Amino acid sequence: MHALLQTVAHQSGARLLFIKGPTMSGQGLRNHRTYADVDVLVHPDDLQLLVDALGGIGWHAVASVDAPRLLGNKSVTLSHPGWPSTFDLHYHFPGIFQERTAAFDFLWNRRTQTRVAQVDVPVPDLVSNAVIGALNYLKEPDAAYSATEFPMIVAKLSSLDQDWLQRELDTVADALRARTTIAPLYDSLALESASDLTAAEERAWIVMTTNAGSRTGGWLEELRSVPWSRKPGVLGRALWLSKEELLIQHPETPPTRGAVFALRLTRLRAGLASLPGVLRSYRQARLVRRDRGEE
Amino acid sequence: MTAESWQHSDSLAWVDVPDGIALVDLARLSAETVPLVLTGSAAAIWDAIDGTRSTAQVVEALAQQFDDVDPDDLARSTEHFLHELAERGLVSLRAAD
Repeated sequence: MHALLQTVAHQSGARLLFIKGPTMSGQGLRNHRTYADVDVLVHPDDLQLLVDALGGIGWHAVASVDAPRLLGNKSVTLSHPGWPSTFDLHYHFPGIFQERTAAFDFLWNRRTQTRVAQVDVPVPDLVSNAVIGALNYLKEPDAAYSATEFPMIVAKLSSLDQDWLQRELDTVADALRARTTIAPLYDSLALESASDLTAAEERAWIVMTTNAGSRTGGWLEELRSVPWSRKPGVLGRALWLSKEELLIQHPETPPTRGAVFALRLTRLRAGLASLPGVLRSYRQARLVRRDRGEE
Repeated sequence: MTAESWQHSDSLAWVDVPDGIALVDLARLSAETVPLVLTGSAAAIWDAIDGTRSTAQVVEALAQQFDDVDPDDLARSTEHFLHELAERGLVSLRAAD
């Protein structure tokens, strides 16, 4: 699948970098295993070009609901009925606070290559890929894979010259505006770091990483950010998605009135149940900044 | 007489998958393109093609893996499969270097 995607990208002129999965295995940042999806970071200006080119060979976007998500994966997922996996085309990555095009250009200018299925594919350089991999785990610190795979990144980076690593990590983290978000990586490597986010950015990151499985934080943040005149509309959508949207989010639900009604109740209950956790993480974000004397 | 060896097509990409080997021809991408998965003896024949082996040598390599199969049957099936792969443009016989 990597080879196919790279071929299409090359033919269409779309710039992309393969991230996660076997590219990290090839750089010693992750164990070899079977991967479900192929993840790439696409130049924001080239996304539609690539989506159109893939559409020409039968790959189409998977339906999704346009609900606000906290720094959620800005990506398009494409699938093909004859293929077992999907393409996840990311045009931004959570935890990278640099402007999208600038972030991609930085990574693109430092790219290297790895060989997958007899084809050379472009990948971020070792330290950049380590940062992206670390962010992938840090955005969901409670996920099972985070406990096993984050230490592998730390182990690989620990084997490098530490003065060189400090300089490289600083360069990548500064360019991506990811110093704060990869702070646990700096800590694990016993390297020095500093905060580089605004209060709002850091709050969004803390709320997201402490409530990764909850959509409530996304809706709350959306409510905070829109003017008062738009708040009722956002609140209405948060509470009442259409039947079609609910079924996209929960394709396992039969499309009957009863089942959809039960799903609405479950969704509202889950939202209310996650609210205290989201509010706790807002308080946590305030405390973090207060401890640093920034509030 | 020039020695000939079996080679994979240059436009192919393939990877190991849990069931065998999945391959796709990158020169013929279309909406109908799906991975071709080779399993069992088909995957073994694919692996035995290394750009240097002739038909007889591919059969010989397989005979070491499938020593419980009748040698004549093995040779016949292998030759048949090699030509089937060649008809699909996935492999070719080329003059050895």
